[in-house]
Amino acid sequence: MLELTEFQQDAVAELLNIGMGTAAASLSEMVKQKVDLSIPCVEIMLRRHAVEHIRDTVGNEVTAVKETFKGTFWGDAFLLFPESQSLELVRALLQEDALPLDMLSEMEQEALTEVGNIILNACLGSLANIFEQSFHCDLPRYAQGSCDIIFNRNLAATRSADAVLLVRMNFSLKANNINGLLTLMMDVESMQALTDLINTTFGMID
Amino acid sequence: MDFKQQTELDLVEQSPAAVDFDLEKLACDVIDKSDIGIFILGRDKSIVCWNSWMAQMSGIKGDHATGKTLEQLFTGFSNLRLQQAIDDALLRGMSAVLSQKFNPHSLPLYKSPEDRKKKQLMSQMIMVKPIHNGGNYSLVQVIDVSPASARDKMLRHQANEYKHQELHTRAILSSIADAVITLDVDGRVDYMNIVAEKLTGWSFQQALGLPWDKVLSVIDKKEALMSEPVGHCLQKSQAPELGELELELQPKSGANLAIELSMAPICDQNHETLGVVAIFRDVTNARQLARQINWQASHDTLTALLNRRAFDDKLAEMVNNVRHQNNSHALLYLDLDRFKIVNDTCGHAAGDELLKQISRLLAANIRANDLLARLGGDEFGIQLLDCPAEAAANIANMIRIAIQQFRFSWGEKIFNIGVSIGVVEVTPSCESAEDILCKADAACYAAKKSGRDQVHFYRSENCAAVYHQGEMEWFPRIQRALAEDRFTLYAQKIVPLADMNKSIHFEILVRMLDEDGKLILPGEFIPAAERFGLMTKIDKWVISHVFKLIAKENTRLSGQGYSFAINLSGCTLSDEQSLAFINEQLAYFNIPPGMISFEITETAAISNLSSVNHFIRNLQQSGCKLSLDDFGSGLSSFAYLKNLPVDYLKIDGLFVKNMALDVIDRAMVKSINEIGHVMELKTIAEFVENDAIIACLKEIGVDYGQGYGIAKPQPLTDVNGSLLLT
Repeated sequence: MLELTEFQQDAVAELLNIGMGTAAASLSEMVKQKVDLSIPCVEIMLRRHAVEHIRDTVGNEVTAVKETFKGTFWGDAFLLFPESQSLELVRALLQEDALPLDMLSEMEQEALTEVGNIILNACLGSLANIFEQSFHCDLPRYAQGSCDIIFNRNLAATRSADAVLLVRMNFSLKANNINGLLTLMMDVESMQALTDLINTTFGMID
Repeated sequence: MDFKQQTELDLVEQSPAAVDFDLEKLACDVIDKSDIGIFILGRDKSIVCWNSWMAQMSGIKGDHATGKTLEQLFTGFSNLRLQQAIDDALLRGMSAVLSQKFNPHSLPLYKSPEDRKKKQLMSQMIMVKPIHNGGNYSLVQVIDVSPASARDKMLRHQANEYKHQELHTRAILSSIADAVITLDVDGRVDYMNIVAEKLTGWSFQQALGLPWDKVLSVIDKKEALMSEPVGHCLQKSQAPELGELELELQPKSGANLAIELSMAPICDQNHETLGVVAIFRDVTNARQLARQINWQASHDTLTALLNRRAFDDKLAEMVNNVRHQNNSHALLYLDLDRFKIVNDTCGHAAGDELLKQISRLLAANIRANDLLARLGGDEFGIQLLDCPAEAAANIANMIRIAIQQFRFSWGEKIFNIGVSIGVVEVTPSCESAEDILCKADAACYAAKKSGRDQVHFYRSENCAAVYHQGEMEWFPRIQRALAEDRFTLYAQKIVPLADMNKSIHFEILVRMLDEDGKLILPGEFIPAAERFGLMTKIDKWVISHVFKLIAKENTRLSGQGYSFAINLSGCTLSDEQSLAFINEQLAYFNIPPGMISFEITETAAISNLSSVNHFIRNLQQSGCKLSLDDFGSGLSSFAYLKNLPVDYLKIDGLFVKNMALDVIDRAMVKSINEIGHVMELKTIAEFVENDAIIACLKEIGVDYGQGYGIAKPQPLTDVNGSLLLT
C-alpha cells in the first residue's frame, strides 16, 4: 500500500500534466508571454523523508502557496519555490522593474498566490475530474519561511499527515527556468483513498 | 439561504442566553455591513446577494443587482479570468484568487464619485469560493487593495529615485579627479571609481570583494601609519589622521606613487557604520614641487649652497646647542675681494661662474660637518662645528690661501681673487645668532679695512670699535655733515717735474669736519659714504663749492693756465643725473674751458666701461680734462686704457713711493709712463715723497709729480674764503 507502480506514477504524472497544460495556457494568456509547465515525475513518500527531500531540492528557505482540499481524498497542496527564485519568477511574470528588496512586496505576494492558485487548481481539478469526485478547494494562502515551519503548521490533516505525494515541476519562461515542487500532503487514510482511486482508474488497464 | 449550515455559528445559537437570537438576520447584517465587497452568484450565475459595500462602490443598489448576471449588470463587462473562477467554484468546487497585479481591471468599482468621473478604477483583489447550500453557489469577495497598491507604487518610485541617486553619485564619483574607493563593513572593496582603477592598477571587477589593503597597498615613508586605519574607521566611526603622513601607493604594477589619502566612515542615520570611504590623489608631482620649493627656500640656486635664511636658522640652532654643551664652535664670515671687477668687466655670467667655482673651492676646504652658505652677493658664511678658535683660524687661513692662489679665467682674461675673512668663536656666552653674525661681519670688515686678503679674529675691543665707526655710526654722521655743510676743501699742488716752481695745477681734496670741528680724513669716511650711497652727494658738494670759488675769483684766475682736479667716485660716474648736474654747474658758474679736470679711479672706470666712456667724452666736450687715478693698482688695466679717452694718467702711488729702492716698482712706473706717452697722455706720479723719487721720475720722464716731497695738502681757501693758490 501507499505505493504506486511505475505505470501508475506515469499515469498520475500524465494526468497532472494535463492540468499543467491548462494552467500554462491561462498563465501565458495572463502574463502575455509563453509559459511552459511540466511534470517529470511523481512519487509517494513518508513526510519526514519528503521534508528532507524538499530541503535538498529547493533549500530550507522556501516560498509556498498552499491550498487545502476536501473530498474523497483530502489534505494540503503546496506549490514550493526556493525563496530567491520566487522573486525571479514573479518579477519575470510581471515584467516590472525589480524592486530593490530581497523579499516579495505584498502586491507581489498576492500575484504569486494567484499563480500558485492557477497551477494548484489545474492539478487538483484534473485529479477531481478524472476520479469524478466532488471536491472542495479552499482559498490559496501565501507562506514563506523554513521547510519545518511550513510543513508542520496549519496543515488540514495535522494528526497524521504522514504521506506525501511529491511532484516535481519545471516552470520555464522565455528567459528564466525555474524549478519548483508540487506536493500533496495527506494523512494515511486520505492517501489510501487516493491510491485506491488511482488503482481503480488505472489499475484495470494494468 | 440557510447560513446556519456548515458554520460554527450553530454553537452561538445553542447558548442559553441567545435563545431568541436570529442568527440568519445577524448573518445577513454581517454580510451587509462588511467592509469588503461580498456578492453571491447562483448556479445560473445570477446574483443572489449584493452587500452594501458592493452597492456603494458599483453605484448599483442591491435590489437592482439581484437576479442579474455580472454581464447584465455591467454593460460591456467581460472578464474571462473572473468568469472562469466563478465557473470553477460553481462546477468544480474550486476557490480562486485574482490579484490586482495580474488583473488590474477586474470590476468597474470606484471608491468615490470623483474617481468614477476620472474613471479611476479601484485597485481590487478578488477571491472566489464555492458554497454548497442545497445547490452550488459562488461567493465572491472584493477587497480594496488601494493602500497596498499605493505603497507598492511609492516603493517603486523610491527605488527609482534611489537608483537615480546612485547613478548620480556614481557619475559624480567617476568624473571627479580624486580616486575613490568604498569599503564594506568587513573592509572589502565594494566600489572604486575610474581614477582609483588607474592609480591602483586594479580594475573594479578584479578588486570587488577583495580586502582593502590588497588593492590600496599603502606604505608610509615616515613609518607612522597606523596599522589598521580602516579598522579604526569602522570600530570608532572616526576618520583616522592621515594628513601629516608621507604616503606612497604601491600599484599592482609599476612604480610607487606619492599619494595624499583620507578615510572616513560611512554611517547611516543611526550612526551605525556601514563602511569606509577612502579618497586619495596622486601627489607625486606636487610633492616633488614642494621638495623643490623647500630646497629653494633654504638654498641659493646659483651655487646650490645653503642661503642666508637657512644659515641663520642653523646658526640659531648652534647657539642654542652650545649653551647645553661644552664644546665650542666658530663662525667665518667671508667677503670676496675684487669680485666686482670680474662681474663688471666680464658681465654677470662671469661673476656667476666665479661664485660657483669659489663655492666649490670653499666646500673643498672645510670639513664634512661644517656648514657653508652664500649669504649674499659675494659674501659667504661657514659654521665650523666643534672647532676651537685655533683650528678655526687655521681653516680660515687655508681658505684665504686657497682663494689667493686661485686664478679665475674668463675667455682670455685671468683674475686674482682675494677674500677677507672674519672669525668669531661661538661660546655659551654668545647672546644670539644675530649678535654672532654681526661680530663676524665686523671682523670681516676689519680684515677688509686692514688691507684685504686677511683673516681677522673678532676681539671685542678692536672690532666693535671698528665696526661701530665703520658701519653704524658713519651713515648718520655723514648725513648730518652734509646737512650742516660740515665739509671743507683742501688742495695739493701738482707740479711739472721739468719746472717745479710752476704752481698752477691743484688736486682738490675733501675733509669732513666733526661736530666739534675736528678734521676727519677721507680714508675714514669715504668707504662708509660709498657703502651707504652718499658719495655722489659729497662729489656734488665739492663740485659746486669749487666752481663757486672759481667763479668768485674769475678775474684773478683767467688766462693764467690754472687747473683744478676734482675726484669723482664710482657712484657718481654711474649716476646719469651727475653728468647733467656737472654740465649745468659748468654753465651756471661760467667755468673757462680747461680749468677743471676730473679724476676717476681705474677700478671705477673699469667697472662701468661703456657709461664711463660716455661720461668722459661728454665732459671733454664741455671743456674738462680727465685723469685716470691710481693707475696700475688693478694690473689688468692696460687693456682698458685704450678704450678710455682720458687726458692724464696718474700712476698709482704704491709703485711710486718705493721706486727709488725697488727696481720692479721703478720698472712698473717706467712702463706705465711709456704706455701713457705712447697714447699721448700726460703722466702724473702720486706719492712723491722725497727728492730721490723726484730724481727717478725725472730720469724716466714722468710729466708731473704730486706728493709730500713736493707739497702737502693745504686748505683751499684762507679765513676770508679766498683761494690760496700757492
